[in-house]
Amino acid sequence: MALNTRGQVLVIAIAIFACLVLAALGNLYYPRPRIVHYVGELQTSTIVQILRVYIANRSSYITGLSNASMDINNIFYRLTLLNNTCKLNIPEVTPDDILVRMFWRNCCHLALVNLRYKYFNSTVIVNVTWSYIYLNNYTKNIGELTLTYMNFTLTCSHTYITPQYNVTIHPCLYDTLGLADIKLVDRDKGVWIVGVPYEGYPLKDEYNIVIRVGS
Amino acid sequence: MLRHLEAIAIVLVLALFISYSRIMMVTHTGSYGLRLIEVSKGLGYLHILYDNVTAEDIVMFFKDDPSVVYISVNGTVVYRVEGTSYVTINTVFLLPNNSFLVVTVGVKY
Repeated sequence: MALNTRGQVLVIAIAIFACLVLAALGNLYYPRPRIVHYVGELQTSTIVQILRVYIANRSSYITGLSNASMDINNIFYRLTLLNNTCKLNIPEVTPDDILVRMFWRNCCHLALVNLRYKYFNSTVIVNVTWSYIYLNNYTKNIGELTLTYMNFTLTCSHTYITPQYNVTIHPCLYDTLGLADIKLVDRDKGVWIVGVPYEGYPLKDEYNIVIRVGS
Repeated sequence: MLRHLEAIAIVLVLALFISYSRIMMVTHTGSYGLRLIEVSKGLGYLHILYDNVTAEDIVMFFKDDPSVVYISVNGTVVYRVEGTSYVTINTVFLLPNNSFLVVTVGVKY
Protein backbone atom coordinates (compact mmCIF):
# COMPACT_ATOMS: atom_id res chain seq x y z
CA MET A 1 0.00 0.00 0.00
CA ALA A 2 1.79 3.15 -1.27
CA LEU A 3 1.70 6.41 0.67
CA ASN A 4 1.06 9.71 -1.01
CA THR A 5 3.33 12.71 -0.44
CA ARG A 6 1.48 13.93 2.64
CA GLY A 7 1.59 10.46 4.17
CA GLN A 8 5.34 10.15 3.55
CA VAL A 9 5.97 13.54 5.11
CA LEU A 10 3.89 12.46 8.09
CA VAL A 11 5.90 9.25 8.48
CA ILE A 12 9.16 11.20 8.43
CA ALA A 13 7.78 13.77 10.87
CA ILE A 14 6.62 11.08 13.28
CA ALA A 15 9.95 9.23 12.97
CA ILE A 16 11.87 12.41 13.80
CA PHE A 17 9.50 13.13 16.68
CA ALA A 18 9.93 9.57 18.03
CA CYS A 19 13.72 9.88 17.89
CA LEU A 20 13.59 13.18 19.75
CA VAL A 21 11.28 11.70 22.40
CA LEU A 22 13.61 8.69 22.82
CA ALA A 23 16.64 10.95 23.09
CA ALA A 24 14.85 13.04 25.72
CA LEU A 25 13.85 9.91 27.65
CA GLY A 26 17.42 8.62 27.36
CA ASN A 27 18.65 11.73 29.11
CA LEU A 28 16.13 11.17 31.88
CA TYR A 29 17.58 7.71 32.65
CA TYR A 30 19.24 7.14 35.96
CA PRO A 31 22.99 7.53 35.47
CA ARG A 32 24.62 4.30 34.47
CA PRO A 33 28.35 4.72 34.82
CA ARG A 34 30.37 3.05 32.10
CA ILE A 35 33.86 1.79 32.75
CA VAL A 36 36.51 3.44 30.68
CA HIS A 37 39.44 3.11 33.08
CA TYR A 38 38.62 1.60 36.46
CA VAL A 39 40.86 3.18 39.10
CA GLY A 40 40.52 1.82 42.60
CA GLU A 41 41.74 -0.97 44.83
CA LEU A 42 44.23 -2.36 42.35
CA GLN A 43 46.18 0.86 41.97
CA THR A 44 46.29 1.69 45.69
CA SER A 45 47.17 -1.91 46.60
CA THR A 46 50.04 -1.79 44.12
CA ILE A 47 51.38 1.27 45.94
CA VAL A 48 50.88 -0.45 49.32
CA GLN A 49 52.88 -3.45 48.14
CA ILE A 50 55.67 -1.26 46.75
CA LEU A 51 55.91 0.75 49.98
CA ARG A 52 55.95 -2.40 52.09
CA VAL A 53 58.79 -3.92 50.06
CA TYR A 54 60.69 -0.64 50.30
CA ILE A 55 60.21 -0.44 54.09
CA ALA A 56 61.44 -4.04 54.39
CA ASN A 57 64.54 -3.26 52.36
CA ARG A 58 65.24 0.01 54.17
CA SER A 59 64.79 -1.43 57.65
CA SER A 60 67.04 -4.40 56.82
CA TYR A 61 69.70 -2.12 55.35
CA ILE A 62 69.72 0.24 58.33
CA THR A 63 70.05 -2.61 60.82
CA GLY A 64 72.82 -4.26 58.79
CA LEU A 65 70.75 -7.34 57.90
CA SER A 66 70.96 -6.54 54.18
CA ASN A 67 73.64 -5.03 51.94
CA ALA A 68 71.36 -3.98 49.07
CA SER A 69 69.64 -0.61 49.30
CA MET A 70 66.66 0.45 47.20
CA ASP A 71 66.01 4.01 46.00
CA ILE A 72 62.34 4.95 46.36
CA ASN A 73 62.55 7.66 43.69
CA ASN A 74 64.09 5.21 41.25
CA ILE A 75 61.34 2.69 42.01
CA PHE A 76 58.61 5.20 41.18
CA TYR A 77 60.48 6.38 38.09
CA ARG A 78 60.54 2.80 36.80
CA LEU A 79 56.87 2.46 37.76
CA THR A 80 56.09 5.50 35.59
CA LEU A 81 57.89 3.89 32.65
CA LEU A 82 55.92 0.70 33.18
CA ASN A 83 52.73 2.72 33.45
CA ASN A 84 53.36 4.13 29.98
CA THR A 85 53.82 0.68 28.45
CA CYS A 86 51.39 -1.42 30.51
CA LYS A 87 48.61 1.14 31.20
CA LEU A 88 48.52 0.64 34.96
CA ASN A 89 46.37 3.75 35.53
CA ILE A 90 48.80 5.01 38.14
CA PRO A 91 49.75 8.69 37.83
CA GLU A 92 53.31 9.93 37.84
CA VAL A 93 54.65 10.10 41.39
CA THR A 94 57.26 12.77 42.05
CA PRO A 95 59.61 12.92 45.08
CA ASP A 96 57.31 15.59 46.57
CA ASP A 97 54.52 13.01 46.73
CA ILE A 98 56.53 10.51 48.78
CA LEU A 99 57.21 10.47 52.50
CA VAL A 100 59.04 7.63 54.26
CA ARG A 101 60.05 7.84 57.91
CA MET A 102 61.42 5.26 60.31
CA PHE A 103 60.85 6.12 63.94
CA TRP A 104 62.81 3.36 65.67
CA ARG A 105 62.40 4.85 69.15
CA ASN A 106 58.66 5.32 68.64
CA CYS A 107 58.39 1.80 67.16
CA CYS A 108 56.94 2.94 63.86
CA HIS A 109 57.77 2.77 60.14
CA LEU A 110 55.60 5.14 58.15
CA ALA A 111 55.30 5.55 54.37
CA LEU A 112 52.91 7.80 52.49
CA VAL A 113 52.35 8.45 48.80
CA ASN A 114 50.04 10.95 47.13
CA LEU A 115 48.52 9.86 43.84
CA ARG A 116 47.56 12.95 41.85
CA TYR A 117 44.95 11.99 39.29
CA LYS A 118 43.44 14.50 36.90
CA TYR A 119 40.15 14.88 38.76
CA PHE A 120 40.96 13.60 42.27
CA ASN A 121 43.81 12.74 44.61
CA SER A 122 44.37 9.57 46.59
CA THR A 123 46.64 9.15 49.58
CA VAL A 124 48.06 5.74 50.40
CA ILE A 125 49.53 5.18 53.87
CA VAL A 126 51.45 2.17 55.13
CA ASN A 127 52.06 2.19 58.86
CA VAL A 128 54.04 -0.55 60.59
CA THR A 129 53.86 -0.28 64.36
CA TRP A 130 54.95 -2.43 67.23
CA SER A 131 55.06 -2.11 71.00
CA TYR A 132 56.62 -4.13 73.79
CA ILE A 133 56.33 -4.43 77.55
CA TYR A 134 59.12 -5.80 79.69
CA LEU A 135 58.11 -8.89 81.66
CA ASN A 136 61.13 -10.46 83.40
CA ASN A 137 64.61 -11.89 83.00
CA TYR A 138 65.63 -15.53 82.66
CA THR A 139 68.83 -17.41 81.99
CA LYS A 140 69.50 -19.66 79.03
CA ASN A 141 72.41 -21.98 78.32
CA ILE A 142 73.83 -21.78 74.81
CA GLY A 143 76.68 -24.24 74.55
CA GLU A 144 79.02 -23.41 77.39
CA LEU A 145 77.65 -19.90 77.76
CA THR A 146 74.93 -18.86 80.15
CA LEU A 147 73.11 -15.76 78.92
CA THR A 148 70.58 -13.56 80.63
CA TYR A 149 67.52 -13.09 78.43
CA MET A 150 64.85 -10.43 78.70
CA ASN A 151 61.23 -11.41 78.22
CA PHE A 152 58.88 -8.98 76.48
CA THR A 153 55.27 -9.01 75.47
CA LEU A 154 55.32 -7.80 71.87
CA THR A 155 52.50 -6.58 69.65
CA CYS A 156 53.04 -5.94 65.92
CA SER A 157 50.66 -4.71 63.24
CA HIS A 158 50.50 -3.24 59.74
CA THR A 159 47.86 -0.68 58.85
CA TYR A 160 47.12 0.15 55.21
CA ILE A 161 44.99 3.25 54.66
CA THR A 162 43.63 4.03 51.19
CA PRO A 163 40.45 5.71 49.93
CA GLN A 164 39.00 2.25 49.26
CA TYR A 165 39.87 0.40 52.47
CA ASN A 166 41.48 0.64 55.88
CA VAL A 167 43.06 -2.67 56.79
CA THR A 168 45.04 -3.78 59.82
CA ILE A 169 46.90 -7.09 59.75
CA HIS A 170 49.10 -8.83 62.29
CA PRO A 171 51.99 -10.54 60.51
CA CYS A 172 53.99 -13.49 61.81
CA LEU A 173 57.41 -12.83 63.30
CA TYR A 174 60.63 -14.75 62.91
CA ASP A 175 64.21 -14.49 64.07
CA THR A 176 66.92 -14.27 61.43
CA LEU A 177 69.80 -14.39 63.93
CA GLY A 178 68.50 -17.52 65.64
CA LEU A 179 69.01 -16.37 69.22
CA ALA A 180 65.57 -15.25 70.35
CA ASP A 181 62.76 -17.28 71.87
CA ILE A 182 59.47 -16.45 70.16
CA LYS A 183 56.07 -17.64 71.24
CA LEU A 184 52.74 -16.67 69.70
CA VAL A 185 50.13 -15.78 72.31
CA ASP A 186 47.21 -14.33 70.32
CA ARG A 187 47.20 -14.59 66.51
CA ASP A 188 44.16 -12.35 66.05
CA LYS A 189 45.66 -9.48 68.05
CA GLY A 190 49.26 -10.08 67.01
CA VAL A 191 50.52 -10.65 70.56
CA TRP A 192 53.81 -12.48 71.11
CA ILE A 193 56.12 -13.25 74.01
CA VAL A 194 59.74 -12.93 72.96
CA GLY A 195 62.92 -13.57 74.90
CA VAL A 196 65.92 -11.69 73.54
CA PRO A 197 69.57 -11.66 74.66
CA TYR A 198 70.00 -7.88 74.39
CA GLU A 199 68.01 -4.67 74.03
CA GLY A 200 67.31 -3.53 70.48
CA TYR A 201 67.34 -7.11 69.19
CA PRO A 202 66.09 -7.21 65.55
CA LEU A 203 63.22 -9.47 64.55
CA LYS A 204 61.59 -9.69 61.13
CA ASP A 205 57.95 -10.06 60.23
CA GLU A 206 56.68 -12.24 57.39
CA TYR A 207 57.14 -9.33 54.95
CA ASN A 208 60.82 -9.00 55.96
CA ILE A 209 60.28 -5.73 57.83
CA VAL A 210 62.70 -5.38 60.74
CA ILE A 211 61.43 -4.37 64.16
CA ARG A 212 63.52 -3.91 67.28
CA VAL A 213 62.65 -5.29 70.69
CA GLY A 214 63.80 -3.30 73.71
CA SER A 215 64.94 0.31 73.66
CA MET B 1 -6.84 7.46 8.27
CA LEU B 2 -5.57 4.00 7.45
CA ARG B 3 -2.37 5.48 6.00
CA HIS B 4 -1.77 7.40 9.23
CA LEU B 5 -2.22 4.24 11.25
CA GLU B 6 0.30 2.49 9.02
CA ALA B 7 2.82 5.25 9.61
CA ILE B 8 2.26 5.15 13.36
CA ALA B 9 2.75 1.37 13.33
CA ILE B 10 6.06 1.72 11.48
CA VAL B 11 7.26 4.34 13.95
CA LEU B 12 6.22 2.19 16.91
CA VAL B 13 8.21 -0.76 15.56
CA LEU B 14 11.18 1.55 15.02
CA ALA B 15 10.91 2.93 18.56
CA LEU B 16 10.68 -0.57 20.06
CA PHE B 17 13.74 -1.68 18.12
CA ILE B 18 15.79 1.34 19.28
CA SER B 19 14.74 0.82 22.91
CA TYR B 20 15.57 -2.88 22.80
CA SER B 21 19.00 -2.20 21.26
CA ARG B 22 19.76 0.42 23.86
CA ILE B 23 18.77 -1.82 26.79
CA MET B 24 20.83 -4.72 25.43
CA MET B 25 23.88 -2.50 25.02
CA VAL B 26 23.59 -1.08 28.54
CA THR B 27 23.04 -4.40 30.31
CA HIS B 28 25.80 -6.15 28.38
CA THR B 29 28.35 -3.45 29.18
CA GLY B 30 27.30 -3.50 32.84
CA SER B 31 27.94 -7.19 33.51
CA TYR B 32 31.32 -7.10 31.81
CA GLY B 33 32.28 -4.07 33.90
CA LEU B 34 31.38 -5.85 37.12
CA ARG B 35 33.64 -8.78 36.23
CA LEU B 36 36.45 -6.35 35.52
CA ILE B 37 36.03 -4.67 38.91
CA GLU B 38 35.90 -7.98 40.79
CA VAL B 39 39.09 -9.25 39.16
CA SER B 40 40.76 -5.89 39.88
CA LYS B 41 39.84 -6.29 43.54
CA GLY B 42 41.21 -9.82 43.51
CA LEU B 43 44.52 -8.57 42.18
CA GLY B 44 44.53 -5.87 44.85
CA TYR B 45 44.03 -8.57 47.49
CA LEU B 46 47.01 -10.45 46.06
CA HIS B 47 49.11 -7.33 46.53
CA ILE B 48 48.14 -7.21 50.19
CA LEU B 49 48.86 -10.92 50.69
CA TYR B 50 52.19 -11.37 48.95
CA ASP B 51 55.49 -9.56 48.65
CA ASN B 52 57.33 -12.29 46.78
CA VAL B 53 54.52 -13.47 44.55
CA THR B 54 55.06 -16.20 41.95
CA ALA B 55 53.19 -17.25 38.83
CA GLU B 56 51.92 -20.32 40.72
CA ASP B 57 50.43 -18.11 43.45
CA ILE B 58 48.53 -16.07 40.87
CA VAL B 59 47.25 -19.10 38.96
CA MET B 60 46.18 -20.81 42.21
CA PHE B 61 44.34 -17.67 43.26
CA PHE B 62 42.38 -17.25 40.01
CA LYS B 63 41.97 -20.81 38.73
CA ASP B 64 38.48 -21.22 40.22
CA ASP B 65 37.25 -17.90 38.82
CA PRO B 66 35.49 -18.52 35.48
CA SER B 67 35.89 -14.84 34.55
CA VAL B 68 39.66 -15.20 34.34
CA VAL B 69 40.69 -16.86 31.08
CA TYR B 70 44.25 -15.66 30.61
CA ILE B 71 47.26 -14.96 32.85
CA SER B 72 50.73 -13.98 31.77
CA VAL B 73 53.73 -13.15 33.95
CA ASN B 74 56.52 -11.07 32.45
CA GLY B 75 55.19 -11.89 28.98
CA THR B 76 55.05 -15.65 29.54
CA VAL B 77 51.57 -17.17 29.35
CA VAL B 78 50.98 -19.31 32.44
CA TYR B 79 47.23 -19.89 32.14
CA ARG B 80 44.87 -19.84 29.17
CA VAL B 81 41.34 -20.98 28.52
CA GLU B 82 41.15 -21.54 24.76
CA GLY B 83 38.35 -20.21 22.61
CA THR B 84 37.36 -17.19 24.69
CA SER B 85 37.87 -13.51 23.98
CA TYR B 86 39.04 -11.31 26.82
CA VAL B 87 40.16 -7.87 27.88
CA THR B 88 43.28 -7.45 29.97
CA ILE B 89 44.15 -5.87 33.29
CA ASN B 90 47.82 -5.14 33.92
CA THR B 91 49.52 -4.78 37.25
CA VAL B 92 53.02 -4.95 38.68
CA PHE B 93 54.57 -6.40 41.83
CA LEU B 94 57.80 -5.02 43.24
CA LEU B 95 59.97 -7.97 44.21
CA PRO B 96 62.51 -7.91 47.08
CA ASN B 97 65.32 -8.09 44.49
CA ASN B 98 64.25 -4.62 43.24
CA SER B 99 62.75 -5.87 39.97
CA PHE B 100 59.15 -5.60 38.82
CA LEU B 101 56.95 -8.57 38.00
CA VAL B 102 54.47 -7.58 35.27
CA VAL B 103 51.23 -9.54 35.50
CA THR B 104 48.51 -9.48 32.84
CA VAL B 105 45.14 -11.00 33.62
CA GLY B 106 42.55 -11.56 30.89
CA VAL B 107 38.90 -11.16 31.89
CA LYS B 108 36.27 -12.90 29.77
CA TYR B 109 34.56 -10.37 27.49
